[in-house]
Amino acid sequence: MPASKSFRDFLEEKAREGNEVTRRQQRQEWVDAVNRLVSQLSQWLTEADPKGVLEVERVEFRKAEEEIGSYQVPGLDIRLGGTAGVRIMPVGRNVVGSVAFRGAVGMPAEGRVDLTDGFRKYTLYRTLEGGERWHVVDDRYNIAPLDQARFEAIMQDLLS
Amino acid sequence: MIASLADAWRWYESARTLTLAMARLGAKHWKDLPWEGSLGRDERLKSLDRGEIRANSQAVLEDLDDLCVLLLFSVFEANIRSRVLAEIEIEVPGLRHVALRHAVATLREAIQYGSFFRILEPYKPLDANLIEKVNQVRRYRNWVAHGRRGPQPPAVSPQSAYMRLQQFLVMVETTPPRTLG
Repeated sequence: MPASKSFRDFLEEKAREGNEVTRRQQRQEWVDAVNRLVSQLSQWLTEADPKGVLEVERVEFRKAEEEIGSYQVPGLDIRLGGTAGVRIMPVGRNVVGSVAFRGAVGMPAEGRVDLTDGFRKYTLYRTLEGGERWHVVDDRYNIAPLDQARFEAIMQDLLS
Repeated sequence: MIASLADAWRWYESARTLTLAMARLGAKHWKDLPWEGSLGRDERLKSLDRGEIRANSQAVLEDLDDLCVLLLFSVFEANIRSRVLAEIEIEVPGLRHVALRHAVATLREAIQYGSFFRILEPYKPLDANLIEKVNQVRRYRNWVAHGRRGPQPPAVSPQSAYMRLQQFLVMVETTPPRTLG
């Protein structure tokens, strides 16, 4: 350790290193979560489309968030017949707000991904309490758990 | 005129509903409209084509949510500043000493034009958690207002912003100012 560095500087440096480790872990955890989500949605699309009507392309987004730094994360571009299209686009790991079903205590949102046709938008919020779960909020602020049936209904709506 | 959070929310909902309706009309029904009649003679409508409607609607919707957060916070900030100012004015007539009157003039200026963060600080004893929630909206608003440069702070949806700011206003309105501190 250089002689010029005080004990206080040394401890501050260690604290910064600790924060950096946490930031890296949070960033990686979020990228992994979006990868899992994108894989799940891709699989549901494949199951719903045995004839291959849809064109599904995996796209990468560059993001930079204050609390976790810069990273690259996947999304999907889905096209139908060259005209209608849907983009599945990660918004961020850190989001303000909570997911609350009627009459229940809200769970903090721990990530957001948008599904949009460029006009209408469905928002997916991730919660971690009791395990990782994704929830859909539509443009009338109705909340529902994300499952295969709900995802297919959203895609049909956005591609119609 | 937009003077309250409810007004701002109404503006947002109206802008979104109308833009979505126009986008839908352009995308799905534009060519089926009866252009032979008066519609075809309407200067404002007859020159529009589907591509233009689509591009314009998308341009509006792309930024509408963030603009709503910006608007909500501006209205909220203006409301809080004028409320605090009005509360202080009640105390002023009793002050005689020239130093105190000078201090009040400085305080007035700080409330009108100074850091909003500092205006919120005295409310911390009421609900520090809520102040932090409002500050999260403020940080996101600042990021949007400065052209979304640099890393994104925790993302704020219009609905979250509305609920948090409204919650703060209710707290302030139901708490007499002298109970603070």
